[in-house]
Amino acid sequence: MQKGAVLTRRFALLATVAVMGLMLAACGDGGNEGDSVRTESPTPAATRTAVPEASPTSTPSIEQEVSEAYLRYWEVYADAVFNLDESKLPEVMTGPQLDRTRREIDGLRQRGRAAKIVVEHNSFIAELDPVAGTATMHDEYTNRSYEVDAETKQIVGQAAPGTVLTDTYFLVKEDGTWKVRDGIRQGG
Amino acid sequence: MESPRWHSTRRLIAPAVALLLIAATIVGLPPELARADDGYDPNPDLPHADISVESHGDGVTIYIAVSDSSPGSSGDSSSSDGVGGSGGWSCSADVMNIGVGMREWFEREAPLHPGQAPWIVRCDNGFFGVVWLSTDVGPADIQIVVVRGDAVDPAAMAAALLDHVPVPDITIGVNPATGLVAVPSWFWIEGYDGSPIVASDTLGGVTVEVEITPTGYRWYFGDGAALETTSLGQPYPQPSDIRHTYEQSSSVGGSFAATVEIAFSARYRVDGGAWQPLDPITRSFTAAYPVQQLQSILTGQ
Repeated sequence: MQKGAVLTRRFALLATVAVMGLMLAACGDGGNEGDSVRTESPTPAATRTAVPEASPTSTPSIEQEVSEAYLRYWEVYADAVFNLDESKLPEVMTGPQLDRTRREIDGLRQRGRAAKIVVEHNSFIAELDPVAGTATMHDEYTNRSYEVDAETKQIVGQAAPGTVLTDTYFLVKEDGTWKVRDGIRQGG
Repeated sequence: MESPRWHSTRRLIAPAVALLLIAATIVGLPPELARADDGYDPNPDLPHADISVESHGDGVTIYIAVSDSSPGSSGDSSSSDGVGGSGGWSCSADVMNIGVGMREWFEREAPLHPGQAPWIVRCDNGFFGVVWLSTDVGPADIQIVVVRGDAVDPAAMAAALLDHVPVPDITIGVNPATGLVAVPSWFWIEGYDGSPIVASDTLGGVTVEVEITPTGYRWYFGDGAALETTSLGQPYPQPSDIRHTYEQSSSVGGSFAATVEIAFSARYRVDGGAWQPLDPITRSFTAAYPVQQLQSILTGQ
């Protein structure tokens, strides 16, 4: 790398960071937003959701729709693996993710287990194309989930020790509803 | 064989488990809670891919290690420079444009990565990842390499690395500079102190270190004689223990090929784990050494 180029790039990045900082300060909402969103089954805790703001390519309502759909996905998923009930899955997921989750529930059922999902989200919308109806949600969430007995719902084993999992979920708008279509785990 | 570290760790674990069981009994925790288990990962069947970053003099290389379950994993391994690429995967890396929607995430993560900025890595088959790179790095400095994670063979990496271990440029020291028949010549190794030599490489998130250590030095003096030592010899004027006395001169204008062959034991380890043996290697270094016959001149009285 040439030194001149590096300095120019550093300046550009510093300027970018400074502008971002000013934008962020301007967008502050008085500290009402929490630093994460927690999903827990079967009775999700009260959540505080970061509400995305406008960008040149999308409206706040669309970003809010995606964020809410993503959290809704987790709530339905958490209920499904806890109650071993697949009936509501198609409301929040489709395609490979739906097939995958059904297999997951089937596997739990065969082992006589269910899962209590306790996760604390640390997510953001990485990409959003309202025209194509696609969105990408990146989540580096803390996982404290554990298995329970399928019948008694008593804990089996121990909760995950707060491991951070890095997942990216791909959402599509299907019949007017944002649904998780696929995902990928970074690492693991 | 268990290592001393594991022994000491186990000594600590056993009382800790006992205390946990006692505590669970006292406070009335469910007995299941006292059992060791590792919880439950949501979406356990999600496709996965490892992503790692290696910095070097020319910039950074982003390795994406894919498995059979990764999206588009049927594609061949490939590499691309920053944007575009070839082969089964076409990937690009772009500095993350921090929109308001990712503000909170950025504010939480940025302090954990001082001097770095987040980049998004995308591949046309659906792979998506986030990496933090130095703020010095620009798109032209980034190379993306996709490897099959299940094809990363540490032993093969070690074997390949062994061929490129940076053995110093060794020279043979000898005194006198021109040998004399029937006069001992002293030899020694210059440019190397005999310490272990280490090389490492990272591929697909797997770091392999190779270490070679000299086990012996075999000297060939060029006249058919040989000597095996564990010593590097001593540079003149110190008396070297590596000595040879030539019984004949080299041809007129010519020289003997004095050679030292260094035998190295070799071993490797993966991600800082236990060392594992590799086949030993040898490296040879040669110097031309002229040897003359002393001429006696008789003078009459």
